[in-house]
Amino acid sequence: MGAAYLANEYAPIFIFILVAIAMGAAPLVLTLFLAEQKPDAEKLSAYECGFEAFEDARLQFDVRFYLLAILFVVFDLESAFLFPWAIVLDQIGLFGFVEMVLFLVVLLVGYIYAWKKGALQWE
Amino acid sequence: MIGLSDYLIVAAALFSLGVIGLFLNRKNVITILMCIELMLLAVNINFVAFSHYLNDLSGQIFVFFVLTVAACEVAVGLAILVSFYRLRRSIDIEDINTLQG
Amino acid sequence: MANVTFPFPFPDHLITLMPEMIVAIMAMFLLLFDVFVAKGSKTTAYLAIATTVAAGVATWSLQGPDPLVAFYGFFVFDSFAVFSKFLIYVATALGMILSLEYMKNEKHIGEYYVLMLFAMLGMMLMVSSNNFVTMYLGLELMALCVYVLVAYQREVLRANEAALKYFILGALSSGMLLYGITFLYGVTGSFDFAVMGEKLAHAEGDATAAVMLGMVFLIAGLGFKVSMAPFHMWTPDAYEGAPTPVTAFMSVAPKVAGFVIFMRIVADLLPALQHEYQSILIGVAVLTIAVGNLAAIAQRNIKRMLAYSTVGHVGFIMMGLIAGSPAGFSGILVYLSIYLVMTMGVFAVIILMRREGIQGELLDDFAGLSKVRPGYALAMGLFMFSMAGIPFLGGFWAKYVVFMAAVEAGHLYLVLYALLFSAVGAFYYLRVVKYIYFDEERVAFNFIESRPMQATVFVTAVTIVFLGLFPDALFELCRQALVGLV
Repeated sequence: MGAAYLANEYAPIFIFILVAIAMGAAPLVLTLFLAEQKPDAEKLSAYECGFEAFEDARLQFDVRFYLLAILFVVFDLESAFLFPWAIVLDQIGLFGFVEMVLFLVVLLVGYIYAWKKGALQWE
Repeated sequence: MIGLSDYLIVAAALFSLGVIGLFLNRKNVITILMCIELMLLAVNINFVAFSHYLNDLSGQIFVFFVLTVAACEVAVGLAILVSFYRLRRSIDIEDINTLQG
Repeated sequence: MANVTFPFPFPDHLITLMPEMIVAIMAMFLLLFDVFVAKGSKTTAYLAIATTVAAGVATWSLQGPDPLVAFYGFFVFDSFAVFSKFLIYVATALGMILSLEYMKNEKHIGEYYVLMLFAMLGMMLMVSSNNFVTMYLGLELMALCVYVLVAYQREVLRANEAALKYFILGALSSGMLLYGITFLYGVTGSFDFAVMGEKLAHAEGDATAAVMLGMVFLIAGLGFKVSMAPFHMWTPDAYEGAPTPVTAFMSVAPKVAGFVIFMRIVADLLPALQHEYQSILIGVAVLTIAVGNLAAIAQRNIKRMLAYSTVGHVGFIMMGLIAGSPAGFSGILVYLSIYLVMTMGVFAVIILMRREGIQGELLDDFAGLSKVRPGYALAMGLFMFSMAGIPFLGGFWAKYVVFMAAVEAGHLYLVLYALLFSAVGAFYYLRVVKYIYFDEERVAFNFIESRPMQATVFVTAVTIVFLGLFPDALFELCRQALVGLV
């Protein structure tokens, strides 16, 4: 395991990172040179769909977002089991299919419960 | 070639960061959740590295279980945290101080 | 790639999992039943209790002379698993019975019993696991449900706080447990206890360091779950903050599951490393016994006191693990059974004393109990004497068997040390008796009148006396349960 090998194997990633940084930095740097800078109060104010800005941008998220996020995290990751299953479905046959259906039924029970409890309702 | 030991060192570093973060962090409970996640990811790196090195798939299967259980764990943790926040109006670690003795 | 064929249908495997399937299906059914039909009525609770009974019947009907193995060794159903499952059923059912009155004012009560069933399912899976995958899944299913149960009274700040602390330390311990498993997997290339044990015996060179690392993390992670010192920090807080029936449940059932899996690991996985794990466990046991028994003296809240007393008991139970012999293992089962009965009885009395709000928790609240309710006072006195290990009550035999096993295994000094601290422990147990019998009433009593709970107190008290007089049947049962393990 030499440094040369490391460099070889990770060179594309390194180049990719460099390009990404350059792409991000370029507009910021270029405006300094190319754009005409004549700031006034109206231009410096925050843009909020045409009307006056009325709140600080750094407010806390509503707790209801957390609730949805929690549900999302669980259901999202449980579905990770579907990918390996889908790839080998032709080999595991009916047994594998039934097994996954049972797994999904269990998830469905959780989903119906969350629904009925009103966890998916915004208000 | 990047060998097994390199992966183990990365995992050990991540795991230690998680544990240290858990104990040194004196501010926010969300950070603690992130530290726990970091520890579990370190575990996953270990599993995948060993699995590849041993040419045995079961380690990677375990990773799937660890990932999903970690998601459930964080969901339960966040739920408890939200409930705590509603009562205490704070998620600072300093405010977790009712139970002592 | 070879075409993998699965035995479909494979009734044998599913029948072996019958008790688990009953609990899983009923738990899911009750979850929906509660939101659609029962809507917080007590029907859910009764059905949940019935489910534990059904699981017990299924387990009883399945047991036979030979151990059953299902799913290619992932799941075993041996007499050891059967015995520990019955302990878990009893603990869960009693926990539910104790909850009936205590939790009746909670708004959303249906999920409470469902969570208990899922926790029980996790523990059933754990004690039947012969493999780290099933063990981990069972452990987490149990742990996640218990975190939520601790926080069940959402409007009580200390319950939330207790759950938060318990969750953080529990998640840390899972991480450590898994980190330990990774190294053992890396050395052996398997998750099966027996296969791993075989390979660990031949580990050499670099592998020995990895094995040691893995073993230390494994013991630390499991130690958290059964609250061994120095990993016991969560115990007093979680016990105090949790609703009292949950405290009763979590002070018994997870400990049973934790020690059972500890025994499987010690017996199957680590026989080649007996010297190493013994020296770690001796150090931990010395600390656990001291911390548990000394810290309990300073407590004014009886739930906190019982938390430290649990830590002390865990230290004593560990002596059976250290002995590592069949006598030690059957001693652990004896200890766990008797501990279950004593603890459930004590918590039943505490819950019966609940007044407005959350009371019956301070030691002062017990002052003068003997004059108002001599029956409760007698039961509480019996449990305290038993926990202190006074002959001839159940608790005495529990200590006797593990101590004898440790002496036989050549750990005489450890046993003398444990005896010293059980004398210290007697002080704070007997202090409760002093409050009950020799102090004047300080706060007006106001009891919950509940037949099922009074019956629980009566039955557990009688059992403790009975086991104190005739312990042989239990000893024999526990010896039988070990067939196949060692």
